[in-house]
Amino acid sequence: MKITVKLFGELKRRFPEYHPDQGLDVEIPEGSKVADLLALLGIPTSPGATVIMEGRVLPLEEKLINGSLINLFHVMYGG
Amino acid sequence: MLRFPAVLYIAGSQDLNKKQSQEKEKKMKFIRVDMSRQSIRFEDVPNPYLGLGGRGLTSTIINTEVPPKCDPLGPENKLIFAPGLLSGTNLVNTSRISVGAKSPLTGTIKESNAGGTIAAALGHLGITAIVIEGQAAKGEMFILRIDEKGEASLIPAKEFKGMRTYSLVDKLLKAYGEKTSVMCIGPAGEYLMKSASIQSSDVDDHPCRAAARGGLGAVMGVKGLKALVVDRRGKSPDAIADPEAFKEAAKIFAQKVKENPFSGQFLPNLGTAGLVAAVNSMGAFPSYNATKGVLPGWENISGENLTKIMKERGGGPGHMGCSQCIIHCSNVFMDKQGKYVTSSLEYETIWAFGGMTGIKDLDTIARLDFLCDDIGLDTMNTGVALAVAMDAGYKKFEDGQAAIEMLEEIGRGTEMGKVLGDGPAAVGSRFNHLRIPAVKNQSIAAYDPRAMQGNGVTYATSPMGADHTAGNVIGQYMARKLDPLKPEGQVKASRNSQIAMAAMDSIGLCILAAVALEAPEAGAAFLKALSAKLGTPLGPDAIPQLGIRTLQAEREFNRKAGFTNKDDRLPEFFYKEALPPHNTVFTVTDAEMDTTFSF
Repeated sequence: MKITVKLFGELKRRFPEYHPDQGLDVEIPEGSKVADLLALLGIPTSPGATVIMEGRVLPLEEKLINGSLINLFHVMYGG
Repeated sequence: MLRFPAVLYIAGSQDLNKKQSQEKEKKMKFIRVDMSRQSIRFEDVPNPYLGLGGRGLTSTIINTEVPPKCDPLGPENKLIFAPGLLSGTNLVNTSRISVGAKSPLTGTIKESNAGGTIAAALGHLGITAIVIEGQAAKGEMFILRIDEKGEASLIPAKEFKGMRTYSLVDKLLKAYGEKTSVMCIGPAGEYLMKSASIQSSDVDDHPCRAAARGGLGAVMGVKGLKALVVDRRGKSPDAIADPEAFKEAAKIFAQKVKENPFSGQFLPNLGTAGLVAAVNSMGAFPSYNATKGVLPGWENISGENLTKIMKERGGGPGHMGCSQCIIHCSNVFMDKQGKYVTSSLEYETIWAFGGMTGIKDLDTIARLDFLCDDIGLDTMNTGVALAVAMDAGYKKFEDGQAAIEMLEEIGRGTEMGKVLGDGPAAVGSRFNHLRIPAVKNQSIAAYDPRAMQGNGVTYATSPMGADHTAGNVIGQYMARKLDPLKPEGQVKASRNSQIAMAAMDSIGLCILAAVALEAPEAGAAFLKALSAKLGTPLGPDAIPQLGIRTLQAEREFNRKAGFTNKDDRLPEFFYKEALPPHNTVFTVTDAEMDTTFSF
């Protein structure tokens, strides 16, 4: 299935071809979870990336849905 | 949200070793300035205040010495400047100053915290606190100067009357030398406006950092003090009991601040503005006077776009704002011609002038930030005041020119300017408009309580009025430890964060560096540094105990001033008007909120 990932902050530096308007199209097997997506992108779950879909912070074990748009952040603590 | 390593929460009651700290603290300087008589007195640190610094000290002094029911703008109120316990040491990111008084905005006790260079400068002179008492005769105005040797003098300063802060700092540096730190008020403080800030000069001598909250600029103004001017070349810091142990611990702590992805990489590249994207993505960015949780077009005012613009024009992120900072979360914003506009353009300011007003243009927002710094205003209370005025129909949302004109009205002290300069509650009252996003008259910050319920608990219960730095919970949400939309667990998260923040504000550690305390080695090194400074081995609960003691003193003062649990509530609309996109309201019950301080 295909997931579109938008990367924020410094996360985009890992992907030199990344363009913020298009995001990153990721092919991932059906039934994959949030943790699988992070592993595929090489982003460690600790100390922390935050995966947000439709305003919701997703738990690592949540199954992804084909065609989803995901926003990916560092964990932040306030400003 | 700051989380201490678990080791710091182990129960027990070991406190600071008072006997040892008494010996040492007595060498510290405690300055009382009587503005009524223009006299200055140096004292040993009074016994009840030994071992305290920053917010712990300002709040304890206020709770002990200020009549709780006094008029905040009367001579009985006191204005206290206190660097943190570790300010002036070599521990990184410790140039934080606490300014305390009874607040004319909230009517509660107030600690307003600022960065810049002055806390380190006072620390290098071994000054624990400066207590400003009484008030000068109406129309009189003074500068309080502390020279290289730590000698203090009051200098008549009528020529600076009405001056805005950038020009003022320029003139003060010409008069007192380049190695000078300044905290000062602008016209808003002189007009005694309730959103008046006390501005603090950064490493470039721009008065762009602020003890902004609670209208303490008005307290400074009514006392007749235009500026506090401190020489940065002091060489008489308080002794460190075990310098070798301190040095070693400080080195480890600095490494951990650099290694932490948030403080070491994210903040130098995006600054706090990086939160715009995250909080909008979570549907918690209060927009159009808190009627939407996502600002359509937020990408224009995101940290990512801010960084891009700043790099194109010169200036940029990664700017060092405060003495001894190794994070460099600050920035310098230039206009299209490459001319300086402002520094330290922060997330909360971008939200207040962007999200709340619907202005999606960083050039206008940067200009508004500069005007606030120059006039001496809290950007948050002022941005939200403008948003309430727009919501009430006085001006249109998204109208950047109208926003600039409203700020200039405040700067000139016109009739409407005085209403706007008193903050969102005053504006709501003027227009009979009920949607006022404030608690105890102080505006909320850039996290809507309906979509981040724990931040709502902090806004409602903090002894400071609505205040994000009093106990931000966002880190818990982003680390998947707590669901931001549900009431469960929010009181506990707010409580722990409020305790941690009160402790950090007392020690003088920047809360962005405190994030590194997550790593157990960093927590241990920090405790070791504090122990080495005070000359007494601190138990793991010493830091939270410091936070709890501070909060208890603040709550006690507020109780005596007449506040009860019924004041610890959010405005009604947060309970009744659902916030899109989640369409949730605030659901933490009153009974639960009343347990926030059940220590």
